Amino acid sequence: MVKYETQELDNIFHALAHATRRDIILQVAQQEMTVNDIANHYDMSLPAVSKHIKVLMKAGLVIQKREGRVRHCRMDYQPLEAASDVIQKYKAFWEDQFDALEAFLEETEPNS
Amino acid sequence: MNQELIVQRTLKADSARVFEALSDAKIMTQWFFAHPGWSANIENKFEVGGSFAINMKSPEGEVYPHTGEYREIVPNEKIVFTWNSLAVKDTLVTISLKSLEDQTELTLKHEFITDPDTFASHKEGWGCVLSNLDDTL
Repeated sequence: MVKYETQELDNIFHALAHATRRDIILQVAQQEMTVNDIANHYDMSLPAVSKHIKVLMKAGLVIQKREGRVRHCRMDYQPLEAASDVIQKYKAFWEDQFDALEAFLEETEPNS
Repeated sequence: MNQELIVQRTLKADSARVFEALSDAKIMTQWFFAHPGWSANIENKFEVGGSFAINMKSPEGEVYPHTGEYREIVPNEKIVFTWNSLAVKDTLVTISLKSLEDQTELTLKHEFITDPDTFASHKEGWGCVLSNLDDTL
């Protein structure tokens, strides 16, 4: 299991927190695409689309390969696995807290 | 992978008592992180826009800070707050309480991707990518 640092996880959740970026991932998850292919799907400028792709690359969700002037994008699932791992750990965390709350409520008398 | 988690419990106490245990820092300190060897220092300003800080200390003396801000408070029913830790930033936690005679059903939802405005309409397509992930792993 790759160990992800806080900043990396934050980058992943941040990247996923935007509808356009999630949509880009949906597309490149199906097939490798060039930046121009991706940009053609949106009613926004190429630099705006490039900016979203950069955020996805920073999170490691999109990997880019250059061939001359053409930039090919594909998806990497590994950061999603790391994010999923954190969510599982948090589930265990909250279960632990509520075990403690349950025990506390049973051991103490109501105030009234 | 899901973008949120849900934990549910039925507690043997009325909702007023559960709500107090979740909102009064003095009472929270008595159970939150109350695992062998651990301790927690909790400070909060329990009002909408108010913040909280929970410093959880391990038996080895390491301190794990957790902070957030209350977003919505409905007495005996609901508490919504942001949650930041060493692992995550700007996540959202919603605790709902439902009275069941003398017991209380507690539901906690922890959302890790917080952009509710745009999320709903993309949920279906997004589910596809996530089920692809399951196939990949």
